[in-house]
Amino acid sequence: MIEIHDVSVVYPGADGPALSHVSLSVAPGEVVGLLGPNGSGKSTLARLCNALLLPSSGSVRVDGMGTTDEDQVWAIRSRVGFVQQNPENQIVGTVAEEDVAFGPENLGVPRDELRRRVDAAIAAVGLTGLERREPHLLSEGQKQRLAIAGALALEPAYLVLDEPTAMLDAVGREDVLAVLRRLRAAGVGMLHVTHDLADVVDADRLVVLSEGALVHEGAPASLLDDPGLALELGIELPTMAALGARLRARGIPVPVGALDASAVLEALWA
Amino acid sequence: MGLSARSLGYTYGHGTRFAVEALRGVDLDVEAGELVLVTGTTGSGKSTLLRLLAGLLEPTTGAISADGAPVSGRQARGRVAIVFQNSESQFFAESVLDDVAFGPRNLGAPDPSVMAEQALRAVGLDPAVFGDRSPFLLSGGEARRVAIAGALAMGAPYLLLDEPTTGLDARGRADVRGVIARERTRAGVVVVTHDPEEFLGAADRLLALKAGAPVFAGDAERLYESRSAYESVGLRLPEIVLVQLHARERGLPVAPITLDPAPVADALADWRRVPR
Repeated sequence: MIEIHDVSVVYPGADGPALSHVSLSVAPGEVVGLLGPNGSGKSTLARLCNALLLPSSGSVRVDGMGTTDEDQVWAIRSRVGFVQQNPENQIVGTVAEEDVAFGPENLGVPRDELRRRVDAAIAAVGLTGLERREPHLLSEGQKQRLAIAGALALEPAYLVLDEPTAMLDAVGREDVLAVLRRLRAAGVGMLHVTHDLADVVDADRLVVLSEGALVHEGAPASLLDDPGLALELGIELPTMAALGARLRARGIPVPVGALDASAVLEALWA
Repeated sequence: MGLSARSLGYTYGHGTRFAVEALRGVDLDVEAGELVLVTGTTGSGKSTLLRLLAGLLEPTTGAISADGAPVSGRQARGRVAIVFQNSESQFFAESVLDDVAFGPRNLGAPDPSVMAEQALRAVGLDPAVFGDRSPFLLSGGEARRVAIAGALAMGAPYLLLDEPTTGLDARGRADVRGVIARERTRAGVVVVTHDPEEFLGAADRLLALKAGAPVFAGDAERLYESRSAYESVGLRLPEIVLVQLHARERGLPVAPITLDPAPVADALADWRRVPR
């Protein structure tokens, strides 16, 4: 369990806190979507989860280990993988498999085990066959999947993803989301930061931040079926969610959270 | 008149054994008051086209003219301004005003600060409030608008923007769309995007590229009617468009195709109430 308890963060020289008395947990295998406008504290909250950033007050614990305990930092970082918005910022290897091996090799994982982990991580993100490809020759979506493989090679229990689809085109985005669905099925817990609600409609829970405070927490339906609340929180409903809400209001039973055309068409002809 | 490209092509490393053709056979026209979208997947040649139009690359084939005069390479400076993707990552000055004034100052403009103030107003940022701030302490949407102001300060009659809303939240994207809507009343605007939905309602024409070649060029609104052209670009047709196309096949008189859920919901709900 990642347990964030009553955390505030004040950056040096800032006018106000970046986060203010936020509590949040991510259970093993649970997927939590974290939404909010630019500057609301999403990335700050994400960076707390694996001790990239320490709270000014309050506590963050990962499977019982406190992030302020220096002896536990590496154990925490191997439990919680981190994927950034721009994969270019986290790719270090000269070929794909080297990049994936970087984390576990640094932790002293033995050779045979390293090979197994790298192959498994590359397979998990669908890049098998591209092991020797130079990262700059990969597409943007492939680069982001490579960054995810790098995190997976540490065999983390949790992944924290900071807007992993923000820079991708529709195809790259769908490929990354498909990888995340497979990881979820494999039991990886996730905190998925995004400002696109469509990325996290299947999450177990959604959390909304605004100006450093947690302003909403609930099932995805709590936003998808309540356009007024979404608007109030500054969350843009996906076009298909807005269509679904309007059709439900007119008595057509489109399932909440169904964002594909086929669900709407089925409801229409039901 | 306008900014016009004919039979434009570009090969990286032309004449060497590393030559890679990035663009071929592209025609594009934009007049003052027009918004033209260029779309395609990553690697389709969109950004190469923009760099050619901005004079940052010399075309391998074809020609570019602005208001009747040939422009390529340095001749484009002052006539064509470009806003790069994530351009706020190029901020370097200590204040917003200095950063925006950098371009006109470099071109030897008589009063770069005044031009910078005008540009900030044009993007909806009050110079009295934002001028002295550090460009590194702005929100995402503010930073992007300051970056756009840096291009506007050059006073060029043509404005090119590469993925101008990437990474912004809903409010930031709406602010940037507002800036583009205002600028096009004065300038000819070309927006490169892999998400044409964002701008389609406002665009006059659309050019879709695949592997460096045009696969669709024409009225932006007609693109969705041409499902095969859209999908051949490698883009996914929006689900709400698929709903309307399928409904049409079933006999529902929806026209024109729209991305706005309100009229679609009304049309579908009204139609369903009629017993068939």
